[in-house]
Amino acid sequence: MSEELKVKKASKKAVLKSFLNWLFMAHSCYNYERLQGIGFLHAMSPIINDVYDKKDIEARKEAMQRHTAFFNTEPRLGSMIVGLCAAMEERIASGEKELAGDAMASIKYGLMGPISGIGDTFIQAILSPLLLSMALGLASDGSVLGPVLYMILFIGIILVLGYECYMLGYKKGDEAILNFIESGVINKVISGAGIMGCTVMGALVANFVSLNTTVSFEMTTGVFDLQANFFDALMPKLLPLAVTLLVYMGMKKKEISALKMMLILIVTGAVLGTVGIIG
Amino acid sequence: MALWQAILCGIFYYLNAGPWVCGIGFYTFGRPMVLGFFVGLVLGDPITGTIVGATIQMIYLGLMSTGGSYPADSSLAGIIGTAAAITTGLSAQEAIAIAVPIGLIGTIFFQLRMVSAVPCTHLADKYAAEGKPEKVWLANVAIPQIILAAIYVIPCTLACYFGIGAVQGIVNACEGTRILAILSAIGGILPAIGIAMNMKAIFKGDARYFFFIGFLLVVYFNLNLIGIGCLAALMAIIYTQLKKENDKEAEEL
Repeated sequence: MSEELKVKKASKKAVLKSFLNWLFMAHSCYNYERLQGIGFLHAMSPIINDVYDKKDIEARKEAMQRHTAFFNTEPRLGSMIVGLCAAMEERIASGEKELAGDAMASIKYGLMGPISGIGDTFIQAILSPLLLSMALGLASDGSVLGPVLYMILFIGIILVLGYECYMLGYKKGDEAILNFIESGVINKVISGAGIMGCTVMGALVANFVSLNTTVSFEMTTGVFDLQANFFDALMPKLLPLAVTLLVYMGMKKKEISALKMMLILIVTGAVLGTVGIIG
Repeated sequence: MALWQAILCGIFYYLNAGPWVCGIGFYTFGRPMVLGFFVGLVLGDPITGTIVGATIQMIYLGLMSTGGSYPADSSLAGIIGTAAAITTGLSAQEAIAIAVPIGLIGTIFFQLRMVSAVPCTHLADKYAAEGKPEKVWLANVAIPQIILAAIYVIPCTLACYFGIGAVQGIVNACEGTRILAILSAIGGILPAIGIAMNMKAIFKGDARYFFFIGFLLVVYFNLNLIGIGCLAALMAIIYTQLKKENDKEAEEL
């Protein structure tokens, strides 16, 4: 292209509004028909309102109808898709009509899957349990610092992460997003955080799972207490470790759901408790 | 529990589902540890509340909600469990026995919200067809949030206001039997589920060895969780660095 097309930029205020609409309201109208679909439209609205001429109802209508369909991703990392689409709407409004058709849809639907995969792993499986575990250490001792620090840290991280992701999509475009998904960096972070997570989970077993047997035998040498004289002598917290590993294997290998597992544990616990083996 | 306290509990439950906490109600007011603190604050005992909330939190540690699924309602479980423990004097582990079934009942309200917001999408379609972006907030926020508040605030408020008394009755009936001791034993085992759920996502490859390191560090060295967390971060960094160099050498060969 000899002459760079002049792109009509949305105002800073509109971009900020678009980001906040998404970060706060992505799940506001969450529903079985379109999940975050209307949340996406809401995030695009300030941009559409800004870059399309107020009198050009037809163009505004077409732009809005591009964003009413089904959408679902991990909202914080997914900010980059919203940012990218905002930049694309600016270019469509400036005359690059060819972006309006399949290009927009294929980008939205192509990215939402991989990004929710990475995002859910990072936020739901790693960040949240990890922060919670550290806070639980404080909270279980009765320190209100636990919940308060957890909330402040989590909200802070989400704000920064969401904003950076939005701007990555908005300023750097789809190339940058694909680089982000395919580069080893994200995998390295997830694998490192997985190590951290596993260490802390092991610590949680010793801290929070408890199981003691009350069985004891009368022997000629005195009372033999199964818990104190055998399990605790062998390794403290051995029973909680065994139970946790059993529950894990049941859920992972036998694919028992968490709900069923809960029932199994409650029934087993009730039976063992009633006959006096644990308690 | 006074009516104003019950209403505040209902509002906490709504904040878990609504968008007002930075869009992460699920991660804040959906977490029993956080709710334990807030419910405790309302009931005048934030410290007991935090301890009970932390204990209930353990079962839901690995809870994940993806693609419109919602396996258990940790928010309602945290609110009612904490409120019941503080008002009736149940121990944290006994409160788990109340929290678990409540967490299952709570998923109904998630189903309700997911269905009740469907008509709003059609309202949004109408605004799109008219080319009116400035009106979308009505369809995405105003109307669905009014419905959502009704779905979440009312049942939780009622449950707190009327339900806690019923719990007190049950607790009184159990006095002097072995039932509370058994419930407490079960409450001690259930956190294994929260941990196992998270392990399903991260217990892979070499990371598995670190699980046992974490366990042993507590059993034999009595390190607290913040210490473990810091140590774990350092181990993770060293491990990834070593692995990087190792991979490089392997490539050169």
